[in-house]
Amino acid sequence: MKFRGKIIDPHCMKQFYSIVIILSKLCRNVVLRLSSTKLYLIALNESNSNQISVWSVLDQQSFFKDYDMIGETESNEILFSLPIDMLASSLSSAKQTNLKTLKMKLTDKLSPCLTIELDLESQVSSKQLCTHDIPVTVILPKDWSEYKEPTIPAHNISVVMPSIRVVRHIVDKMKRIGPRLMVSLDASGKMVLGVSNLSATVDTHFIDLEIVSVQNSTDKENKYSTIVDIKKFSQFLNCETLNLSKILCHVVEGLLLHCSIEEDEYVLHYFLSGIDD
Amino acid sequence: MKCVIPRQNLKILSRALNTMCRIGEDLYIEPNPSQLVMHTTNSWHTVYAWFTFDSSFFSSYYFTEDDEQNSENSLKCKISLKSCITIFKSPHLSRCLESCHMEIKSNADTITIQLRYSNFCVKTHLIPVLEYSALQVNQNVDTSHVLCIDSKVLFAAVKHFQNSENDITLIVTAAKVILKTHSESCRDIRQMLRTELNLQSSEFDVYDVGEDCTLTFSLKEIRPLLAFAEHMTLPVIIRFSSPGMPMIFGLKNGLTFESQYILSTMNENALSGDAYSIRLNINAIENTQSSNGLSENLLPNTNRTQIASSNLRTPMRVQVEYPDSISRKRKHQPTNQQPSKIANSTSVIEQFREECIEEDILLSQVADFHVNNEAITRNVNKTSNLTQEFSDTALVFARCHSLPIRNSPSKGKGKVLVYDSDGLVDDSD
Repeated sequence: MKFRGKIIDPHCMKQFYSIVIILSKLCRNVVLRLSSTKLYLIALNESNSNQISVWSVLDQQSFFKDYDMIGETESNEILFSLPIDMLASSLSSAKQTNLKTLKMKLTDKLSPCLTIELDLESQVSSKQLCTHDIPVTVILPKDWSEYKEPTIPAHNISVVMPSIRVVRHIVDKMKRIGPRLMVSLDASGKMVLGVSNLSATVDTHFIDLEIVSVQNSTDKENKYSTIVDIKKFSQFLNCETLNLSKILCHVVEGLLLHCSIEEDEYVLHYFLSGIDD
Repeated sequence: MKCVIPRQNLKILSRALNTMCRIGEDLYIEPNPSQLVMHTTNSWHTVYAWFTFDSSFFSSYYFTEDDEQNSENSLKCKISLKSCITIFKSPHLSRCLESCHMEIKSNADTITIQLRYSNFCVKTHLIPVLEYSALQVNQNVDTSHVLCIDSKVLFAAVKHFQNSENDITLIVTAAKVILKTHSESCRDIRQMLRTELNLQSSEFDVYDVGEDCTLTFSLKEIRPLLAFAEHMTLPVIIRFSSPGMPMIFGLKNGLTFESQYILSTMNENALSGDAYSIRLNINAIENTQSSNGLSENLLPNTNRTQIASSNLRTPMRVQVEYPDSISRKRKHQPTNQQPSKIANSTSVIEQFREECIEEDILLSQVADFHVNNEAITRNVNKTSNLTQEFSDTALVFARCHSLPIRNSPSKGKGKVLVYDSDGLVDDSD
């Protein structure tokens, strides 16, 4: 089992760091699945029967300059889990401009580790080398089935989210009113975020959103809604740092809110299961 | 003593006070005819911070006739650092503030600090003097290794370490300096993020190292100083000799002001095992210090103590004297016990105690609370895990009296002089 990767492009480093930062806000442990062409970051929802809550796929070629890996099995894959906050804090120096290369590799030091090597350019000519060892838990092939690509359920409706900055601002305010957020979409391109407590009900309407797909396009009045945990939704909205062009929002009536980011280099899906009223 | 601090320098003073605030709670002020010395130490006495402001730092600085007649000691005083900080923290500090006048009268109850604003507003603060006592610290530290580094580089370097990191290990070789996560922590090293940073010798302005050296010190305590140095863009001078001996972080701005932090250090491999053995070590020291019989009782109970204690070569070097209490302490010291103890054993603990008795006055403050030499029996509560909250260095150098270990009365364990003076544990035997 071997893995070695090297990123030298500052833009890629920044993007990789941003993805890790977003994941670190959504979950505690992340499973890194490495294959010869792709790098998957997967998080399970431990409180809800180990369903996948985050599924992100990074295209190896667009991030890494060098990328070598040898898996144990025929499928040539490696799976291990690691505390994502450690990865985030070790990459935090990627923000700095003086970082020349970022190397990641699997090492065996005391325990299996993911070693992050940062080559820093110092102001005083010579170079600094910073290494972070993140302890990882290797996942055996028999448990791999849990981390298979999730089957995305048939959505009732999918729309393009309004400006993430505005939504985040509003949701952060709504968070103080109540713990549950009702997200409703309808075929006319209207999105309603609603929260309520004993003394007040607050709804925010976003109109004229671009509709990607809808199950029943004839009935414009038909609403599809899900109730989700407002805190978890607001954490996802931190992804504004990624400078995304668009975020899609899908709803399965009463069951699921699914947000997805699809860029050329990477894909990120966030599954937020609905809670009962 | 009266002095006037101009506006520009007030910011420096305020920043310096804030830096010291991260270390200790009390500020000791010692004016002398040419400079104003401010210093503090933390409750474990593992760090000692010291700022000296030369008379050129002030727009005026003079001793009144009264002061000149009285001895210099009469001006030395201790005040609460927190109350001092609040004066300089006010948001109006920058805009219309013109100068700050400070007056210390010999043996007065308060220090007067006056802030004068450009709009003829004068704000007078009276800070109560807690005590007229001085902090005496042995600053003669053996320094065979000297490093001088731009504070920007060092500050950026320590940023790679997590904020929660307490202690880091410094490894110095002829070619480079390595900073890394202290590996012998209470927590399981296999579950921790381990960071290692290499700095080439060319990064340093002065790189004068003799033998290779590995020592561990508290990063948490030094961070405020590095931030201060970075803000003032002053180079940091690091001096140290060997593990277990104190190290110094110093910075100097021409002749106007100077600062030094003296930190206790420890051997990287000094502590093997978990917090359990660390705590026992301290108890062993604590007990040998006060009663010889007890240490012998304790040692057979725990076979780990002996092994671990042999590594413990980290005498508390930041020595603090409380002049009032010294004489009392000497009285209580059973003088006939000293030679026998030294003869009995050659272990490092003995050496440590020996040094403590001779030069360090660790027990001085303690003895204050026991003028009647009341015998207190103390037993180690092994389930207590309060001490795990502290970092390793803090544990090792812990002042015996401030150990937060619950005492439960049990006869026949020997006499212990030591009594908790910081109010962490309230013993009532």
